[in-house]
Amino acid sequence: MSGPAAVSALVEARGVVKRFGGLTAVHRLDLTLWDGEILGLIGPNGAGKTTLFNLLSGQFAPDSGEILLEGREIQRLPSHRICRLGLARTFQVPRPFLALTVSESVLVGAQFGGRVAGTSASETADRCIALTRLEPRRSAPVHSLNLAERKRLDLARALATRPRVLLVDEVAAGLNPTEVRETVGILREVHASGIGIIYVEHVMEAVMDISDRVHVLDHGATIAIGTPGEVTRDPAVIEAYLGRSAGS
Amino acid sequence: MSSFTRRHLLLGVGALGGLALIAPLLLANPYSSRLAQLLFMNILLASAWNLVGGFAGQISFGNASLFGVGAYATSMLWLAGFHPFLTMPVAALLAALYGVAWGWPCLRLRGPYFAIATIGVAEATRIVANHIEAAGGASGLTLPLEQDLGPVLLYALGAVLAVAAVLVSAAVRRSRLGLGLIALREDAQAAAASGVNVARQQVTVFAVTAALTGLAGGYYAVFTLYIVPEKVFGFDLSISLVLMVLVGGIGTVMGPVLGAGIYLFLEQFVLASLADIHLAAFGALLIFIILLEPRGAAPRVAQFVRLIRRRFG
Repeated sequence: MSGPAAVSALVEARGVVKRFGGLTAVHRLDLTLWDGEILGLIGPNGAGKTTLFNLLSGQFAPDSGEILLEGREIQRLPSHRICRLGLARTFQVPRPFLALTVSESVLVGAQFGGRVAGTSASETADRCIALTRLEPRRSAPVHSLNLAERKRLDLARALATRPRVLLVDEVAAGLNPTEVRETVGILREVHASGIGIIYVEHVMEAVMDISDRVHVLDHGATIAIGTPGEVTRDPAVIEAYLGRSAGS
Repeated sequence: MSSFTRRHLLLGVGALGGLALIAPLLLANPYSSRLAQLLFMNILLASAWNLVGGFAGQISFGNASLFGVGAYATSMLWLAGFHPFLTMPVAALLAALYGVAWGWPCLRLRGPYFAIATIGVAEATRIVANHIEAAGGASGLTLPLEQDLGPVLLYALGAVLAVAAVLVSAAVRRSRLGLGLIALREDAQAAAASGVNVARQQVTVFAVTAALTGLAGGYYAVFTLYIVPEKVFGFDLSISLVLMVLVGGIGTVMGPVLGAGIYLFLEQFVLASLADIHLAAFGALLIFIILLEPRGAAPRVAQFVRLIRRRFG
């Protein structure tokens, strides 16, 4: 299902390797996010999903391989440069700036990551606060937010940097079904505004629901790529990952 | 998040006016003049320390190295024939350069690692300063007593410097720089992932801290007329700044001002008869404050002011 030739790659990882001591967390991985798509990234615990996010967003540098953002090599750039080039992320466990209010936190993204002239940082922040349904909490200190709100705040802060690509790390984990539906709705809106998304998630209904393609990792390597329907029927995937729940 | 506003300038002018009004009281005798000078210097130093220590959360035990550079710059230029006022910008500039020179590598460390590095830098600076014969070595420099600026001019200079430091602090707090600093203090990785250049933000604010600390050093030289490395590069000085800010309220604009006052009061009145034991007593006070009021005096005072306003305003 890789897009037609006219569609360009937003993010491309080529032969990326990351080792921690003797452990190879990501092993010669190739991954592509096409323009206009939502790519689900799944795999059992320890498959290397979050490590891959840390590599793509510049938290770590890969030991070898290349990472391209809109055709430009970024694997040696620091996080803030990658953010300003248009790749933003959320964190598996939200990482709020506890001393700030909601609107100040989002303003951090808007003031430091923003790259579009014309609209002011506070307009951008307001738009992202509205999009993530945080308006009623905009003046609240961040430490007073619950988990669902903190996850949406992470999302709002990332969106305020005006990314072309958004890496979403388990934004539905730990939420109740209503909150999951709301969050998926927000991601759809984000996607509709022209942002490509790589979505790591353990909540299968969420990731299978909105992904155009799903990329499955196990032990740091690709074991399947395809539509949600294809990967769930893939024997390798069933064995590595879905096998247990399918067999029960 | 409005930026630095006209209200701040008005408050600054008002503060200077107030200080001018009470000047005759404080200039009544040489002792009270000296107290005013020390207070202004402490406010300048504590506010400067708080920019990097409070907003960026990087605790420095090495600000004496910057203070000393400022004190020596002013003293040596003054002895070379320049007017003391003209030496002040040079003191600020040299201290800023020195601060960036060692802050740039050290600020890559965070938390206790940064704190320990600053102790190393400051102690090394002190030892080197003791051995530079061209600057008087360990016996220091005596400044031209006959050119003393006099209490009125020194008071005015101190007042302007102290008020300026508080205004700079308020401006940083409300600026893009300040927002980035608080973000990186709370979570450096998340700040970087939001586009904040963590290294540059910290070095930028440290340059401001260093410049203001250098100004304080220059001011100290001008009013004491005698400097020695053991004093101006001394560890006691670095520690006292940390104490002032923690007692007053770290990460706030008015906390360092309060802390500077409380510190001077304890040092001069309560503990004057106990000689150097005031640092130990201050340490005990610090433990007390960390246990009971970890955010320092400023939030309580702000609460009190709001209460008074509600009742009478």
